[in-house]
Amino acid sequence: MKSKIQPPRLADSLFLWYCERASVEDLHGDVEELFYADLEKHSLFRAKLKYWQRIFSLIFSYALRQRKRRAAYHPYSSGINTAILSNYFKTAVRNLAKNKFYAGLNIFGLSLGMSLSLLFISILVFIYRYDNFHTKRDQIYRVITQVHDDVDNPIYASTPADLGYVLEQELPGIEKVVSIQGTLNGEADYEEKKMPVRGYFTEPEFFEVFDFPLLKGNPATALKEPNSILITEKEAEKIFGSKDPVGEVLTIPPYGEMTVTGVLKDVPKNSHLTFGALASYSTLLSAGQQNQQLSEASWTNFTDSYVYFLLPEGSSSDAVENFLSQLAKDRYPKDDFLASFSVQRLNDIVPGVEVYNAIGPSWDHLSILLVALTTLIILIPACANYVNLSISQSLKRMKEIGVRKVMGGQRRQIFFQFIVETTLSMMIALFLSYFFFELIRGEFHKMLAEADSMDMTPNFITLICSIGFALLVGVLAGIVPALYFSKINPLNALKSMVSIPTRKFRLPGRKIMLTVQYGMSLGFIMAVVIMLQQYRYSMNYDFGFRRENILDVALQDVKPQLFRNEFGKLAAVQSISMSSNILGLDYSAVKFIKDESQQDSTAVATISIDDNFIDNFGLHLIAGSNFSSDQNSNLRHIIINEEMVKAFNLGDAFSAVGKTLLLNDDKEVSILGVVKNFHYTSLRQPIGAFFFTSDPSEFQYANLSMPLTNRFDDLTQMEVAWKALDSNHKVKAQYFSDEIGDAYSFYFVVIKLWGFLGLLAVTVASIGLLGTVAFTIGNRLKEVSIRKVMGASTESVVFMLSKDFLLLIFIATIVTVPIVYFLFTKILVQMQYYSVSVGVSEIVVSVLLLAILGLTTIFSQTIRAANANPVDHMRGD
Amino acid sequence: MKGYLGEFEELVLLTIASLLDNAYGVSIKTYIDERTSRSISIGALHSTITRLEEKGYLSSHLGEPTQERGGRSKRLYEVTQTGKLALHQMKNLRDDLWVAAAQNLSLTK
Repeated sequence: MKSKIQPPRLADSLFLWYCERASVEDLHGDVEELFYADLEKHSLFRAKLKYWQRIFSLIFSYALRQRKRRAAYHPYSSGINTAILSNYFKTAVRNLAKNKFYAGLNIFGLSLGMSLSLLFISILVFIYRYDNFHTKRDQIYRVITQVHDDVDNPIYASTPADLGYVLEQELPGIEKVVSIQGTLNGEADYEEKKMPVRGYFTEPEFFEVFDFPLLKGNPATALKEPNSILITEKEAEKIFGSKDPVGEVLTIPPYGEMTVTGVLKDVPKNSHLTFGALASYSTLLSAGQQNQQLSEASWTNFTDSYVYFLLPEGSSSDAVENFLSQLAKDRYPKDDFLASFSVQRLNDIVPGVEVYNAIGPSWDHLSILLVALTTLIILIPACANYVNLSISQSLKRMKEIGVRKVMGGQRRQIFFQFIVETTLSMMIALFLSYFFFELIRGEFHKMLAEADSMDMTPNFITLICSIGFALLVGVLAGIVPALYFSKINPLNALKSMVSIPTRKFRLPGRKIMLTVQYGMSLGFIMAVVIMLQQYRYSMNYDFGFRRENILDVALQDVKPQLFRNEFGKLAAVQSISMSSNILGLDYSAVKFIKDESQQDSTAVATISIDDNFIDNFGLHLIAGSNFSSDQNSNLRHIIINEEMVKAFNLGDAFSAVGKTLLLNDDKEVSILGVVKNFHYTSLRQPIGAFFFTSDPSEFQYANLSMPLTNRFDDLTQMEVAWKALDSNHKVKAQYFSDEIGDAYSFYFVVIKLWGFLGLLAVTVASIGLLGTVAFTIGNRLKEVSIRKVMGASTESVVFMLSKDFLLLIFIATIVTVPIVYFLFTKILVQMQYYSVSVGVSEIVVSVLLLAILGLTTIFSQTIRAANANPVDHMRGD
Repeated sequence: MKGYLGEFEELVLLTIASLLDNAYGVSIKTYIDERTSRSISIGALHSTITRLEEKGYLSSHLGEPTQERGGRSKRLYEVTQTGKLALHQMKNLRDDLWVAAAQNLSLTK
């Protein structure tokens, strides 16, 4: 009777299913025994219910969880011990040594990728160490201003000059407020020597807030008196040599005589405040530059004033924040100018949000992100190649994995083994990449705008970070192969039947990856070629004036007439003209000019020249005449370009001559002549309205026309002539054609950068292709041998082996060319108004270059395979 | 003292000791159920036994298969030397505390 009643079958099977391989015989027995005991006391239904309850109570119990865990592993394979780790290590080293070719390719590719990453890491480490030397850095804040103009709403690092004063006076609870004025920028005069000095005006509190130690002088008093100045050790040595600078007097116009009250330790490179000198804030007040205290106007002007403040330990900036927002409402009640203030923690300044008027070097998040992205563009393909090549080699390692699994190796352990292998390769790559890093570091230093204030020498933190990063990348790159290997069924592995799952991997992923890499490489090559073409185009562009054989000399303090007299004596100088700016560069002045009938003046670019200028530069006068040698009549005349005739509706060139315009709202000038359009500014801007004036007081440069026959002699003669005019300054002269060249040198920076990235991308892509081709051919050696024995020609075999890869490069080309073409047609026009469009020749050259690289890679392998003696590969069978 | 002995753990250990060589899941459960007049769940009991085994206070072996358990074996438990030590330590501690607290705990007062 009893034997007929059985515990619920469903509960039993659920229990057994859940327990998997765990040994639960006793538990199962227990519940069954309890079930029969229950039957004697309770109804069948009640007993079954209790049975279910107990099953669930066991399923969720700690006991079962532990038993399952114990059952999952072989008693000898539990955990990972040092013996097995050293075995993994040994296997990894042997495997690398056995496949020197693939291992070499892999590691080389990875190390290229890592070298860029090292660079990025060292930049990042440097940035995150910014301003970390201030002991009170968690309590230091600065006030920033946001202007609400409904367009960009730009944020400025600077504030109105009086804000610091207001904050100090009206808000309790701030420990220290320090105002900084960034305008100390001039030439310090000391005993006939002139040295440029750059720094800030600031208050004595500066030293209580920030940690800039003084080597000499008292920080409490050094910046108290007007006209006192502190200079850094480096500057002091430049100006005073070995002499003790304290107490010496420097003359810095327009502030006058400044007494040196101390010497500062040099500012560390990771400081966002950078200065060569600090002058007392009271200097400004006494010099009358700053005494618009609390006036209306000063609140809309905040170009060079910065306010920092120190809060007591542990207090929040909310109170200041509230005060500032109220202040902004009070100060800017009108709608025409709206601004708000907020506070920024010192720790958030670098790296931080992008601000205008930054006080020193700045790194915003976006540019960091861009650098990171560039790094990844190279690193990801390198890692992808690694994954690709390791899986390709999987066939050779099937037996090893099969044996490991049969001997009790768990999935998790096989996984770990391959992670160890990848990490090992990564470490070797990291070591190698250091050499690449050293190679590129110097170059990169030159390319980055903020580089001069950067310190990228590797240190301990960089080392730790890069090892950590390499480990991370190693694990990430290892995951795919490790998962793949750990999944292998040991039976199939030992029977060598795993070629079936490899096909899954082989088909789309690998080819897409290679195609993308080749596409990217082509993109970089095209970019470089197009940029080169663009540079050549700009250099050979007809600016509409003469560039050769002209030497521009900065007049500095020399009177133009004196200069002309002295330099006119030199034999090599054919003619001399004067100008206020240099043609063809970005910076020409702008003046306001209007027609008598017009209401508002228009801003028009202008250069002030003398009567020789037009001849000297070979400009073409269409109508009217040149300036004369009569200074006074020159001042009342202007010469305009064709574009200005159109812009001011002056009819044609001839009728424009003689008409009068109003300069700066009040001065009547008449048009003396009209010149043919020429590029007075750089090619980036279109030619607009332009006019020449002739005002000797504005002359900054002398343009000497002299043949370049014997440069060296001429230059020494000139230096002698210059000495007679001005012994304080050095002569500053530059060939005009060089200056024009310099203006376009940014193309070179771009070319260098992209060229370098392109080189890396191409190398990585070629490594990937080489590995894949070599592997594919390695697998097809028998097929090739049979074909050859059957009478196939070498050419047909080469074609057969290469065609898949040729197709791949072809697809990459087809996809990339239009993308790059459209991208650059857009970019070029934005970069430069007068730009060359992307031509067929550039595309052809780039594609050819890539094809040569790709074909060499492919054919180097396929031809060798096709020429091999069939006997070598078939002997074994 | 290695590991902390909880109230329930102590109870289970003592039960296993008093059941001599017939300490297995069901017998322990019924013994405790009867004595404390509370019904403990089989899951909780086995979890505690597992923990005690991990602490080294218990050892176990599989017994002979039995008919009323669907032909399945019992797992029989035994208190180890460390288990005994732990129990003694616990008892000593209790005794000391009882002596110290005797005055306050006197029910006659």
